Amino acid sequence: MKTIKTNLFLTFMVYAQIIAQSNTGNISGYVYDKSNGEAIIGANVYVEGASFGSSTNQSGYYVIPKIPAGSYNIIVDYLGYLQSVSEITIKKGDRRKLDVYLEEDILQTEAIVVVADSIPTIQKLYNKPISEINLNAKQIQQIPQAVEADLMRSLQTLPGIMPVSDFSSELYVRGGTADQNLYLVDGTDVYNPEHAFGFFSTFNTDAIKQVNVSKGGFGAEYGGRLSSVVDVTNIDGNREKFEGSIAVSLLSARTTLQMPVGNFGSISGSVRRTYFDKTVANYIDDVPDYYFYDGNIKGFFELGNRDKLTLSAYGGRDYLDLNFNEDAEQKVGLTYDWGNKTGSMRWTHVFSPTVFSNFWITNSRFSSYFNLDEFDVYEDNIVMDFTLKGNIEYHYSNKLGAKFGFEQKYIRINYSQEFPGGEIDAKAKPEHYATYFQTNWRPNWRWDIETGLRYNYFDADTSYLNFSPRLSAKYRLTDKSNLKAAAGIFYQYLHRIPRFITSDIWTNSNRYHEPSKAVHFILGYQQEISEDYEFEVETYYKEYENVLSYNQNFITDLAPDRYNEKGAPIYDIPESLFNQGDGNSYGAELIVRKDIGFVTGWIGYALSKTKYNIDVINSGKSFYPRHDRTSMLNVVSTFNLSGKPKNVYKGTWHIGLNFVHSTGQPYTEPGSAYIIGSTPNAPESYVEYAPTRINNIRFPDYARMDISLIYRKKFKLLALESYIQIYNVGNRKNVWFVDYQYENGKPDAEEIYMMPLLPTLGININF
Amino acid sequence: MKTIEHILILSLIIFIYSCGKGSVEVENTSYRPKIVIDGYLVPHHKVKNIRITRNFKINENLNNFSLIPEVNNTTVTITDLQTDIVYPLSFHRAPEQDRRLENYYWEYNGDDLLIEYGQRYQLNVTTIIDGKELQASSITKIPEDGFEIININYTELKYREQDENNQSKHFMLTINRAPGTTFYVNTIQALNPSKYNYIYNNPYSNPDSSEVEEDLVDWSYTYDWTQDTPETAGYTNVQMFWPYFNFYDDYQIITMACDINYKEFLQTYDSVQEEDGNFHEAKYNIQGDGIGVFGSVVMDTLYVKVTK
Repeated sequence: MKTIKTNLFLTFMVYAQIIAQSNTGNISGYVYDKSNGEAIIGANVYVEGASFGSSTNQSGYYVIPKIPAGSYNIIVDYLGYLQSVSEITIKKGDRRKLDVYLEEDILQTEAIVVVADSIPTIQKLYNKPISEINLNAKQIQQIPQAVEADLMRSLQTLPGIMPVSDFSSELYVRGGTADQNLYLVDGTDVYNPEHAFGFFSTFNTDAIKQVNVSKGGFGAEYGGRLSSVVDVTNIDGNREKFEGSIAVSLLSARTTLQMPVGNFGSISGSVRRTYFDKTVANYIDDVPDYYFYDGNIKGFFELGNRDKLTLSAYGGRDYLDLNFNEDAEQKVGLTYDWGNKTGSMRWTHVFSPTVFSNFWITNSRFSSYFNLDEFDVYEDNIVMDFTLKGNIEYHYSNKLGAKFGFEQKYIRINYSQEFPGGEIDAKAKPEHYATYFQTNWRPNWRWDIETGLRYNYFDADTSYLNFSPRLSAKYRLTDKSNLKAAAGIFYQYLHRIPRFITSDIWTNSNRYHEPSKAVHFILGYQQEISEDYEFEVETYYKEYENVLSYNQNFITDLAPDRYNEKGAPIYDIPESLFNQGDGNSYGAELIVRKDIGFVTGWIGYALSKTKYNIDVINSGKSFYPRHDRTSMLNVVSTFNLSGKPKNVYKGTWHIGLNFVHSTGQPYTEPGSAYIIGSTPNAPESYVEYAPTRINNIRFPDYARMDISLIYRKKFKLLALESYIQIYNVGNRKNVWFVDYQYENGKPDAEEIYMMPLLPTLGININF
Repeated sequence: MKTIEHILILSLIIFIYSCGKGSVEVENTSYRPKIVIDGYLVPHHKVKNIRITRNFKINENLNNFSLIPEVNNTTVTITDLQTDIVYPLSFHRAPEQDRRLENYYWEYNGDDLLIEYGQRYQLNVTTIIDGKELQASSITKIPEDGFEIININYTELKYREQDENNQSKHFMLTINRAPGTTFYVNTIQALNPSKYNYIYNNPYSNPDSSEVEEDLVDWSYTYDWTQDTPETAGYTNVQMFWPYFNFYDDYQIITMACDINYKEFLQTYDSVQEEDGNFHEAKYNIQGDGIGVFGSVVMDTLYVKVTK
């Protein structure tokens, strides 16, 4: 049946290509969730019995241009929603606006039993760009994790996206480093999207509507990073009624509230705070006082038929207060606080049904402040940008579309540190201008070709001008399989100095450090295995130029730019902070995914190799960076144990499973030890280590299994979800690093392990 | 039902696999024999205390005396690069009563080698380790004349004594810089440390008396540095922080003007393990098969006292 459906679908597409397009009209509009008025991203809209079709963009907007005059059924489909069919008659020159309100499939909503929609799986695979993965909040929340559902940790379960340790939620995508990912929240850049210790990212899952992740080969509309794009769209807010949720776990509590604003808009907001400092830290001396809070608010307003306005803001702060000796009468210690603030205003304007646009003003600011009074050490670390950008889509016909956009980014970087005997005062005010043009050409039903060119002008203490061509193509190989390919050149002008616990420092390309460059080549194959199962395999090759690596010995190369009134050195431009070199990554990724039925999830496998070549590291020989993992297997699954409920108020049980196995990380074995004193008059000498070959061996394989047991029950006025999650249920001791020591002349290599078994429980209430 | 059984079996297999422990084997794949140099030249002082040892594998039991290369196979020389005269050093054996590794060193016994301010000297070492003939060399430039400690604000302070504004008073010494030298090291040594005069109620650490006794040397000696001072002669103030003083005791403070070899060694040799546990290379400024430091320093000394 499914095959027949697919064949009919494709036949109609062929048929449609030969229909004359002179006597035509347009259909356009938005697709919304009927229950709350949220615009739906990625819904399929097509004309029954014809090839004319489209899918909704990030704003939930679609256009089907040049439909021959006639009467049609317009079908709108989205996973988890009931199909909508609207009868419509098109006359010559018609510009029909059709907003569609999809109704959630109640059984899916309450029981998480997802049923297939009428769009063939292979068509959905064809629709999405190469190397792109889409997740919604429900999918993120179903993956068992430490403490609570988290976007970044969910993404780490996908093939090609790897963590560097259990204590970090940073993403290493296809051999790229964590600073090579562009994080966007409602169009605004986010610079350090992590709270401490890797348990939490700055993205509150309850506030997320949709996440699109591109692992490479992304279109010309994105730039400024080498490896990936994580584009997060938050919920606009319920436009129909007041809605809320409260969630409490062992370490944090959060709430999300949404409500309509008149009949022209909505507002939503989320707040979250950890209470580690009020619980564990009160009873255990060695645990520092630490907490964070974050919150976001978003307003969405209809300004007539053609205009929408979205205002979005986020703010979060982490606080750490650490005393060196809690038992002492006089307390001495450090304080550290850091966080992000973002704000954006997006104006959506429909110039005509076929010309759709978005314009943004955004502001993003990350700051951290470190204070160690006792030693006169103070650090301020600020990166911020103010951005104007616009994006115009033109849908000329079903065969041809175009996108044009611009971006103007004013960046401020201010890193200052005072320490005994010196100051760092690294300030920069770079500006980044970009514009792009992209065409989408579908010459026939098999082909979909996208070409783009992005122009970058980066102006700091010197300027760089770079062109980034992009190309991607999709080809329907058979009625059950697609081929995809992409290539592109990418530039990055902002770079990060990674640190542990304390937040990363950003700096920019300048006269000492040229922009980093990457070239991507990607080839992919997609197969619909059955109605329920999809299979994708992608291979890629990435080449890096001027890739930056933090210079661990930078302190020896510092050169003061000037002196203060006390004669202490002041360092302005961090010339010695990075070593620069080249590298490459290549690999293959497979995923078998099932989004439908009582058992959902995916099995992902990634095979990859990354090598860097930096003159001053490893005697100039190439080496594997720390995040390289040859092989990684992920199994992520959710089982509905209760089957299809007889009524929506019956409680249901679900088990979640997340298993990961990977090759161990490369690390540098010290190589040899020696005995030496620290100073010419040192009273004793000690064993020290002399590493010579960087990342020359690997840790043992990493493995971990997380499970969750969830009970869901709906009442008349609220829905309840209680869960228990166990992170690393096998309590496997995965090696994090090795501490080499000599005790009484005997060597002792103590393995320091990553996260042990960590149970947590919590409750979520939706009302 | 079959499906559920399969899922359960699969889950069980996965669970078993995700138990256990990863264990790191020390492979020594990157071990290469190296000459270890630990020596400094001091102007207007005899050349002595040039310690030459060897490295060892990180899983080997440590026998200090096996680290000294066979003296008969070892040649150590100092070359005065101003005159190109080569001065052979001779081996000094530790006295019977103090056979610590630090007391085995190479020295020059003649009177014709005078280490001078601002001059360059090269150390050359050849030896045989693990049956391989190894060679290492390093050049140091002695700091220029002119460095000295000019002043210290207090010679005695109560521990964390506060001023009228409730701010801690600190020892602050003033140095006169040597032209061209931008790196200065201060070593702080308690002269009569014991578990009895340790400052227990301090805000920085909380060892018990047995821990103090066990690591008495560590608690009683520390250092810090001041870097990138102006290259010209002039005064620089250097503050001594209270965590350097762990005993109610007399202290010897030695300040050194240092060459670049010592600077780069000191700043990197014991921080080769990164925050995430991985390792990187230190900077030794030794050519050939050598690691360690061959540097030069100019020293000046003063004494202070910390009371209750």
